[in-house]
Order: sequence, then C-alpha cells, then structure tokens
Amino acid sequence: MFNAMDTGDLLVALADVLRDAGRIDRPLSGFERSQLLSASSIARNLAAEERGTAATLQAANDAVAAAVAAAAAEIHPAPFRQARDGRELGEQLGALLEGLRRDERTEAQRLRTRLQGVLRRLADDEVAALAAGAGR
Amino acid sequence: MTSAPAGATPIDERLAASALAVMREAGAVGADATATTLRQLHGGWSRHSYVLDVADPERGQLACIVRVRPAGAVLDTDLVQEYRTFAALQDLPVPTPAVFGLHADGDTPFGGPFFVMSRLEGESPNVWNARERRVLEEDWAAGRRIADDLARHLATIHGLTGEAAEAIVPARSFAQTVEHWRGVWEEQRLVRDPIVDEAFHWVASRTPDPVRPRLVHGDYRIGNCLVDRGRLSGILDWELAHVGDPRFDLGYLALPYSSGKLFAPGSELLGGVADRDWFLARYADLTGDEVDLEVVRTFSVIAALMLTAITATGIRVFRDGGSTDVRMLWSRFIMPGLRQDMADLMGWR
Repeated sequence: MFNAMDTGDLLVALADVLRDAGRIDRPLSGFERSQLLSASSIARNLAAEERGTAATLQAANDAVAAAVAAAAAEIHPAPFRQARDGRELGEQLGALLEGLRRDERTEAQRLRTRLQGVLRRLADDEVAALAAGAGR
Repeated sequence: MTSAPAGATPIDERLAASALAVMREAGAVGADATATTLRQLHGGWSRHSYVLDVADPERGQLACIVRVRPAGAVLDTDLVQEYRTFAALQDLPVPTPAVFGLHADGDTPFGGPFFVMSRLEGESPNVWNARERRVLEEDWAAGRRIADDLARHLATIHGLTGEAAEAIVPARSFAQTVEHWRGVWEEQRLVRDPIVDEAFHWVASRTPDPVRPRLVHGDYRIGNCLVDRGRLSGILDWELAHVGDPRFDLGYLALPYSSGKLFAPGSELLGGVADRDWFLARYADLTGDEVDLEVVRTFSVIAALMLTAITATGIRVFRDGGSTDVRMLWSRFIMPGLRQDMADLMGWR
C-alpha cells in the first residue's frame, strides 16, 4: 500500500525489459534470463496488487475514519480525510501517529493502538491479495 | 590470454585480462595463466558475481569467483572492507573462500571495483523455492547436519570478540545500528510508511541489556551459505558484517523472511533449517550465552527494518537510473510481507 513507484512506473520498466530482450540476437545469459523472469514476476504481482488495492484502501480509510471519529475531540479534532491512494494514506497516518507518539494521554495511546490494528489488517490484506495472485 | 573450450560461451577478453592481472599482481597465478571460463552468475544484488576458471601451468586449475561492486549497488558497503574481511576470516575455522587479489579502483571493465576469490563447492539453497525448502526440511528430519553446521559456525563467528573483530570490521552499538538503518531509510524512501515509522520507534525503546560485542555476520541465513553433500561448505556475503550484538544474527534468522516467506508462509523451521527452540538451545550450549527471546524479537524487527531500508535503496537506485537491474524493482514486492512481519512481531492485533 505504501509503495514507491506506481503502476505506470512499473509498466514503463517492464516495457524497457521486453524491448531490451527483443534486441538480443544471441542466446540469453543467465543474468538476462533472470531479468526476464523478474519482469514476469513483477507483472503478475502488479496484477494481484491492482485487483486488491481498491478494496484494501477503502477498508483502511473506513477503519481509520471510524477510529478517529471515536477518539476524543481533544486528541484529534479534525476528521480524517479519505485518502485517494496508498501514498496519501501513508502520509496522513504517518503524521497522525507521529503526533500520538508524543502524546502520553490514555486516549491518545488508545487511538494509536487502534490505528496499529488498522495497519495490521491492511498489511494482512495486502499480503493476502499478493498471495492470491501468486497462486493463479 | 583466454582459451574457452569449443562450444562454450565466448569469454570477454577485457574482463578476463583484468581479472588475471589482479591475480598475477597478488601472486595467485603465474605469467602464463589463462581464463577458460568467465560468465556472470544471475544472483547478487549488492554485488555482481562471475564464474572464472583459470588454467595456470605453474599452479594447475583454479576455480574462482570475481565479485564486483556495481555502480548501482543496493548496499553502500565497501568492497575493500569485504575483501579484508574474507582475508582475515582465513584464520577462523569457518568455511569461507580464499582471496586472490583486489582491484580497488572503480574504473574497471567489470563496471566497478572487484576482487577474486576461490569458488567453493556447493549450492546456495533457495528457501523461497518449495522444492528446495523440502530438501532442507528432510535434512532436519533425517540428521540435522545442516542445522548443526549452521549453529556451530555461528557460534564460532560470534566467538571472535573485541580488538580481534574490530581489526576486521567496524563496531556498531545497538543505538548506532537502529540509527544507521533509520538514516538509510529516511534518505532512500520514496514514500512515507507509518508501519516502518512505528517500528523504528518500537525498537529504539527496547535497548537490550548489553553483551560483549562480537563479530556479527549481518546477513546470516542459509541462502548466503553453500551446501555440499549435506554439509555447510561455505559462508558467503559478509558485506553487512560488523562488531556488535551477536543476537542480531539470531533475530535475522528468526525472521519469517529468512525461512522463505514472501506472501505465503515459508518453512516452519527457523531459517528453513531447524526447529527454533532446538537451534537457540544448541547455540546457547555452544556459546555459553543464554538466549533472551524478547531480545531476539527486537532484533527480528531490526532485521526487517534493515531489509526494508536496503530494498528502498534498490528501488531509488533503479528509479534514478543508477541501475537497469529490474530485480531492484521487483524487490518492491518484498515490502508487504516485511510490514506484516513487523506488525506481527510488535504484537499489533
């Protein structure tokens, strides 16, 4: 979810690998073959990631919004703004948790624990989506 | 200069000449030595490796590996230090390659500094391959020879303390280890990751009771070893070695990643080779050190953070055009599993 390089970046990289392989007019070396296999694995994983991202992001957005809304107003008065992608979610949650780490009040630590649970489920969902793709 | 057998992959003359020149200068081969094989291996992230076979009328056949630090490496580690580490390890009763000369200058036909070392017999088990995991599990069930070798060699490595170890590699305290990898992560990351942020905070709050600093391999897992006829025949990949808390190596081994987890669980055995309780008890017997499972847990999270930081480095190097090695981009898919492991190890429910 909190991934560097988006789908477009990955597709461009895959296109480059395929182009370079297509220009080789001799038997591939072991290294070149491993490049192609890695590219194939990237494509498969990316497809699995794409299939799971929308649901995972929505579930995380909903869970964070509910946790923040349930916390006392003095802990986090502003409502959580729905993130449009993983990068935005990472920025928002990162900033929120950074503030909570400095706040020793019970309510703050309760919210932090709840957000950690959200992150745990998000990590589980993301891995499950990738595992499902690997098994196809 | 070179003499590839008929039908073999042609040898790159420039590469062969460069490697042979280094070996001659180091006195490892004579003036008439020739290369009979030179090809790049497909493994290696922070280093590129080449198989090199040399025929020397004075010394006979030499089976070698050329280890290169490419321009776009995922680890900003010093090849000269790695060479010196291998040289120093010759005195230790652990199976490591002999070294045959170093070219420390980055301007080489290999695309970076390199050294030549002996090629040991054996293969590196791939714990992410189910079939190879089964071979390791069969060894555990049948005689535990690989598991025992892994424990014994780790105890030997950790037996090197103080000045003797610091003469080889730099010392790093617990706090320095955490700060080192936090620094790498902050410098290399392209996105903010709240799980990683929390994990750095978590490990920094769990400074363990100090122990006498030892030589730490830093990347100790079965995939960085060679296995030949059911025994550990080589311990490789020392570029993360340092002097510090030896429990780092235990935490790294205990990480699910080291047992073959990517998306699906890997082996139930620690590091893919041994029952966890057995291994830690065997290690404790060999070293005389009690193993605190909570400290191992802390170091498992640090190990996951280290892998995360290294992966982030590879992705940045690729994005910035420092390397076209697409495996660096592939490593992006290692991160979700590591995040899950960190969340699990920190007890998030």
